[in-house]
Amino acid sequence: MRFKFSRDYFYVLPALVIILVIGLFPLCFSIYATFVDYSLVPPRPITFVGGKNYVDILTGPFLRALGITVSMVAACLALEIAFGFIGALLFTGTSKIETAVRTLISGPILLSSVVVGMLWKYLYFPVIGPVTLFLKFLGVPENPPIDTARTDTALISIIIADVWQWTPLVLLIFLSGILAIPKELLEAAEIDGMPSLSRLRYIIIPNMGGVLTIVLLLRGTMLFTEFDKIFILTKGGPGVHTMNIVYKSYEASFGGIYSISDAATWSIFVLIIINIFVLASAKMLARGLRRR
Amino acid sequence: MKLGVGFVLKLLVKVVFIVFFFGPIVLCAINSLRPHWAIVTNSLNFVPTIENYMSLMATGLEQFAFGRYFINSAIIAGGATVFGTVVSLPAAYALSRLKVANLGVFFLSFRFLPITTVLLPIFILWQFLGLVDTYQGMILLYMIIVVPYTVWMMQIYFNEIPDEIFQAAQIDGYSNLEILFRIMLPACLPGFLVTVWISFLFCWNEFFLALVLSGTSAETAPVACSFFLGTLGIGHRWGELSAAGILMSIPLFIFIAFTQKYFVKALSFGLVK
Repeated sequence: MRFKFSRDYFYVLPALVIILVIGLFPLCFSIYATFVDYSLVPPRPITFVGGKNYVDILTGPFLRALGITVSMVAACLALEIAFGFIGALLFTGTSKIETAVRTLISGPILLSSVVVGMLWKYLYFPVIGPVTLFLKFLGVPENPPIDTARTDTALISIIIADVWQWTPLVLLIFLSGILAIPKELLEAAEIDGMPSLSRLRYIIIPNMGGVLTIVLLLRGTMLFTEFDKIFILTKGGPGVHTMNIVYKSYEASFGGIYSISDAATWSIFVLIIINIFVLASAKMLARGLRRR
Repeated sequence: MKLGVGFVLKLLVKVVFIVFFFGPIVLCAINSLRPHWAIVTNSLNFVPTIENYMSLMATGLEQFAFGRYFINSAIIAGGATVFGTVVSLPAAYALSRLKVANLGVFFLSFRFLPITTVLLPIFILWQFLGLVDTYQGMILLYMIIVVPYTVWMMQIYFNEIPDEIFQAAQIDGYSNLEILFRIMLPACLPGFLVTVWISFLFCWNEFFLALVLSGTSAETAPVACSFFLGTLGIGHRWGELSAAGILMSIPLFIFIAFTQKYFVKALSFGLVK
């Protein structure tokens, strides 16, 4: 594609300037900051250090943070896809009541993550928290059974809150995938006496490739950059048990240490991981769309 | 009989879904109307009151004084949405109908840019320009959320308009701006309104940027809420916090009530029709 300037570019210019000033320029600055020693506290002259920042992090706390990030992303994706798909199969009706019910369960989707964190902090709360009460009713002895401050349940508490917020969106996306399957196909199979489980196995699931990739793309990019709920529920703790890569980046700068280079290096790792994930998903998406 | 069992099982799972996903929101609404003593003693034997909302808004020492944060949030999210949309519409129109390079994916990619990568440089730049903790600074900052999304979505909606309409307008001698505002925009008005409202919600809910860059005088409602949650004493005033949660969710509830049809398309960046 050859670039040809025309007056039409004036229409794009304002938006482009905004993106360049608060998007591309900061991004380039971040990349630059990863190759220097740049710290606000204590103030030191900026010196070029090459790949030292990367090596320091890769040989130090990187694997731990990566492990936490990946386990959170994997657990959330698996649960959201499973529950979302089951829900989509159940709530396929188009009657007024069913539409209203779908509206109700899509309530959590765009709630502020602070509200979600606050809600779940209350739900998990010792003695009076509804989750605590419910699990006590089921006979789970520990009080509180899910504690945001305990090493074994802190990550789980974040995962549950995230699954609660985003499963409805996954459900709606799967639902649109199911509704896109030609009605005649499903009806013909039913008339021919195909059991509903085989219909699921041979008609519905093979048609889910496209929407599944969209789910992976949307949810994956959000989950790899999850910060808000961690900040509200656990503050990365106890210790570093829920500190994912994004939180590490925050911790290295505004969390108290004010090392610009460390924070930038962590954030570039986030960027690299997201890019790998998006490229893989986009490849799958292209394949899925071609088959359709 | 087999059918009966299946039906009951399905109904049961449906009820579990509704209770799990909608229950916490109902609980939040109930708690916002529940006196503090009733929440602490876990008693359901109470008369609904609005005292939580009153005490949330009350100003003075050691009070929530939450009204101020709502006003901040509304100004910042509203400003960013208005300016972001004004800037994005001509760009989306140009990408859809004029002879410019195909920059759609370039714009969209900034919606997926992790906030962490731009946060520090912007903090340094904003300090240099004196924009930290100001309305102007926050509005300008939030345009990084609004512009990529609006350009991408409006380009999709514009592309759906038949080309004959566009060509007819050109032949009639309309200028580009006239075509944009008098023909294209009215033709996809629902999509446009949904895009604006979603942009507003993105900004209204945003937490990470605001946490670092909004300080005290431009502090937004989510940041204030998170500070109250972390403060000993008021951090466990669930009544007032629930009231804050309900008030913060009103823009969302309005949206869901009217536009369920567009929800999936808007939130999947147009990937799901």
